[in-house]
Amino acid sequence: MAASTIEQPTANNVLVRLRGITNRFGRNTVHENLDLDIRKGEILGLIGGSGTGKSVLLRTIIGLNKQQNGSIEIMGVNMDTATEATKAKVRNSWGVLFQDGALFSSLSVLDNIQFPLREFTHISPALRESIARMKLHMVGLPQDAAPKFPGDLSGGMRKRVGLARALVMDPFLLLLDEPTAGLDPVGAAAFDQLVLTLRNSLGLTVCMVTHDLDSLYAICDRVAVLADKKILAVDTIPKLLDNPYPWIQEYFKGPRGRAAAFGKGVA
Amino acid sequence: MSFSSPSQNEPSPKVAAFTTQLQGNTLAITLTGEWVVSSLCGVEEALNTKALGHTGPLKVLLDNITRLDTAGALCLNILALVKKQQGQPLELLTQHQNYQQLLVASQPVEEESKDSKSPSRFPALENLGKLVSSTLWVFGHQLAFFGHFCTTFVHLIANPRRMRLTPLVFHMEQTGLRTVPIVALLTFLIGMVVAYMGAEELARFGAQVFAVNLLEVTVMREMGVLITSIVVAGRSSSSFTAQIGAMVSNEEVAALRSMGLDPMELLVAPRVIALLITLPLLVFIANIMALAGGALAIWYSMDLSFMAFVDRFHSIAQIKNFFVGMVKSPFFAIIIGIVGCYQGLNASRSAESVGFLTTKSVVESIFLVIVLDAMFAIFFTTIGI
Ligand SMILES: Nc1ncnc2c1ncn2[C@@H]1O[C@H](COP(=O)(O)OP(=O)(O)OP(=O)(O)O)[C@@H](O)[C@H]1O
Ligand SMILES: [Mg+2]
Repeated sequence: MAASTIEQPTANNVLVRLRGITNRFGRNTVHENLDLDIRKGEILGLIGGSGTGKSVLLRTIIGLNKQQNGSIEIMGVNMDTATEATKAKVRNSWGVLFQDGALFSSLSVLDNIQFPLREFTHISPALRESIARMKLHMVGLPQDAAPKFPGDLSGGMRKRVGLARALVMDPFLLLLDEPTAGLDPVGAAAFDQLVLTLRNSLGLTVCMVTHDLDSLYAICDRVAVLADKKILAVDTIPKLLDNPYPWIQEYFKGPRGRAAAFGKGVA
Repeated sequence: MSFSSPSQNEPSPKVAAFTTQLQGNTLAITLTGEWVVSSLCGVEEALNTKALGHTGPLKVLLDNITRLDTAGALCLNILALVKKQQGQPLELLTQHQNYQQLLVASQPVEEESKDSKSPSRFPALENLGKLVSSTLWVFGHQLAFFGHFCTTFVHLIANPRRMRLTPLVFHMEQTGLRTVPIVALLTFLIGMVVAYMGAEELARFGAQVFAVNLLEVTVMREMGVLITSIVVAGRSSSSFTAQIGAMVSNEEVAALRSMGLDPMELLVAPRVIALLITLPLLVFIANIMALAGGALAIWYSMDLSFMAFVDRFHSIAQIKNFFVGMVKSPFFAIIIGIVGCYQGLNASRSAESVGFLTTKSVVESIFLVIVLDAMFAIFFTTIGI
């Protein structure tokens, strides 16, 4: 089982350690010498302007995009040098929500959620279905969505199904790409609460890319700012507010940033 | 008595397991190991059998387990629910706050009762009815689509400036120019086969020279246009469906419509008109190639030189055969183009539907081409051409 290699806390409780990551597409350098630590049990927000490479960074962490340079260590496993079997164990212990859901269009919602269970466990079909229905309920979807196909869902619903699928194996690490984009404010707040509950009860580590300031204020323990091809700062929001870098100032002190901060009584 | 999940051979604390102990009337079940989704297999069934086999109150102690997740909590909750429905209390006991939270959070969810339709008394009849009505509906829909195309076509003829030249030329290249090699090769071979077989058979009646007549009629009237149309149907109607279907599932077509643009004019017309122009040209090339193939076969089998073949062909060929073949080609072009585009626009938002419709459009366009060809054959013989 995955646990034997994975459960041991790595030094300083760092779950994901990126060092010197460089990503290039042709002549377009997206990341250069980027370092980032994701600590065990934290909810880390990843922010940055459009096209600064947040999605690419997530894809690099999960190995969909091979970095030109640098090392990635997840749960103490170096993803470049480890054996295929060890890497498979690590892969089974994260859940990923892609920016647009990435559901399998030929499977119903329920089958989409059950898919990892079917592939990686041998539990009975009845329990499998119960688990899938519970996750569907957890992400706030009605049970009558279960037999529908992804093509028949709204964008927000697809995102929730994607999250349910990411959660179904009860991962250690949850990587979310703009989970609340496209959700109504009530749904987005419920989503935030859900992530928080999961973190608190399961000890989940969450890394979420988000443009949603309310989300950042509500649930993120730390926020990493991606700009100038690297992680410019990783800190709690109050400390980031004192960071003199212009983009950060604009981000948090702009009209939207102010509104969100006002709502939370921070600045 | 104890049980551990079979997913690992040696009993280790990582694996889900439980031990039972009878305390008076109450069965105390102590869970150990990791009750997580990856280790539940087997042990879950064993726990259920054990617990459901006991009549009387049950206690489940969770404090000795090393890890619990929502799947583990759910399976315990389901068990508790089942026991409760049987009127026997099952207590889930734990000191850990995390586990308590998890147990509260992981409740089983009932499937909403479906409003069950009354089963039909004659399912076969019902299916037949559905099939007929859906077929008629699709036919009507396709006819309406064709009508829409015709009005767009007339409109474009009246306002040629609205015609989009770049996509038209692009599709002419794709469906016409790039199909030339395969059509030429295929019809060359078919021409050879027809002439060769004809010469062999006719030689038995000493009528070997009539192989040229046979070749002329078969190729010009039927084979040239039919083979070309089938190749084009396989190549182009599938690619039309795939291109337009991908655009539909990507909501590109919706975007066009939202801008007040008609996909019929933008997507369908250039494709169908491109086919309308290129298919007759392809058929012409096909006819020439088939005759060339026939000439080669006749030269080989009958030792009739190429010049002699041309002479003979010139004296017997009837221009009407050529026209009968050519006249059919624009009709086939419209069928292939319309079917391909219609199926593409029919796609839903899933990638799977595009694949399915692509197959369907190829089968349907080839089917319709052959049916129409048969109808033409009847028509031409009736009017005596
Ligand atoms: N497969 C690829 N090939 C070439 N360039 C790519 C590829 N994937 C991403 N890029 C480039 O990398 C840069 C970062 O893209 P990325 O999708 O990570 O942005 P992002 O930060 O997630 O933006 P957004 O907030 O809009 O989602 C962009 O300039 C993009 O053009
Ligand atoms: Mg992105």
